[in-house]
Amino acid sequence: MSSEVAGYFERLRSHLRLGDTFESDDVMRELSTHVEDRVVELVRAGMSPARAEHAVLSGFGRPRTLAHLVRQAHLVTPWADALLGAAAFVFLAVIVGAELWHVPAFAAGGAGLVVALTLYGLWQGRPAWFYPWAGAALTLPLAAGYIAFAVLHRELPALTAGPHALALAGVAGALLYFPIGLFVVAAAVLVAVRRDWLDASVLLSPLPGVLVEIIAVHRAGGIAAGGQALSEASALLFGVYLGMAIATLAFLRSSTRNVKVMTLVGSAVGLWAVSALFVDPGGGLVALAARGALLVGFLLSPALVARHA
Amino acid sequence: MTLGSYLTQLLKGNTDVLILSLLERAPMHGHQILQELEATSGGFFHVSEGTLYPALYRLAREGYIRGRWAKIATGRERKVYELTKKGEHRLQECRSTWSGFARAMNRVTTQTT
Repeated sequence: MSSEVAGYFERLRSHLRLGDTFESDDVMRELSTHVEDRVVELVRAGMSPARAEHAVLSGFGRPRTLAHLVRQAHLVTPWADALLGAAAFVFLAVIVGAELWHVPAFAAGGAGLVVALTLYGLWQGRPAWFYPWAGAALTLPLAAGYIAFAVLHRELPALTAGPHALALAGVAGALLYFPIGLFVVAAAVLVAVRRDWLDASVLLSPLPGVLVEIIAVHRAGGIAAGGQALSEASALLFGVYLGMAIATLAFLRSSTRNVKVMTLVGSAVGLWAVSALFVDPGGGLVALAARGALLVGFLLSPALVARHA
Repeated sequence: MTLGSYLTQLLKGNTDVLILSLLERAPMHGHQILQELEATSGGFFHVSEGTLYPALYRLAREGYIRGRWAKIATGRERKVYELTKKGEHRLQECRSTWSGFARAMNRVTTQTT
């Protein structure tokens, strides 16, 4: 391979960013064998090898443009993968709508299924369906974070009465949990952003819904009392997650970035409307607008990270 | 609009159908597809590599074609594409749409007052 061809493919690979090295390697291998064949054809027709290589690379176009077109071609998710991705939200809808989170066996089994599918997706090289499931897996540490918060809330006052080993351990553990939890979410986003910030947005998309539920539980008086509030809103929450499943399906199936961004914004708006009804029905316009901006900003924040990454 | 850009636009909108038609005859790798296209069209159609490969990847993602690495006559390994059942149906649909389109175009463009 000449230095011109090697340089072209190096630039192409740096722009390709398909994430999965197997897919990238496959594309690079196919294109380089094409260069091989085409150069042989042109040299047989009388061209010099250097001119032939230059002519073939011109046919490919600029590496950045070709990489963009190839990435766009890979944006289309096959139906089976898109349905599997959307199934993550259908799963959340069933867990919340049928109040299966009340039942320890279902809760543990559900958590196990989410983690298993996430690990399987990682092993498969992070296909498009992986990100909704990975996002669902991230809701587990988020929910556990609330428990850590509840521990802090309960044990901190006990500490003011005097040092107590168990209380200290509880507070230390809870305090440590938040930076570790934030690190895990941030790391997951950074890895996803490297391929495409849209993947990172899908990864984050289950989190606001769970956060809304946690806020509602806390406002209702904690885990014990809040469970009742969640039960009363189970139909509404079922609808929300089903809506997000449809939005995820539309997102994964669309072949243009603008439509993908619109489905993300649409799902944020839907979630915002529900959170307004569920968490803060009497909230003022300013609070509502701020919440909406926060939701949309949160889901689109990976775009900012990608710019600076 | 120049004639060149008119032809480019026509070709852009029909690249998928051309690829599917060629693969209906026999499985081919990318380079073969370009050669066959030029030969079969008498040199009229020339698709660049930058157009062909994204189209192949998109058709494969949508399930109309399937690619796999195979040893070809020269003994080298190349990624060979073949039409799937879904691709065959799609090609039939595109053919009948094209027939209707071409008939209507001919009627409009050749009609004299």
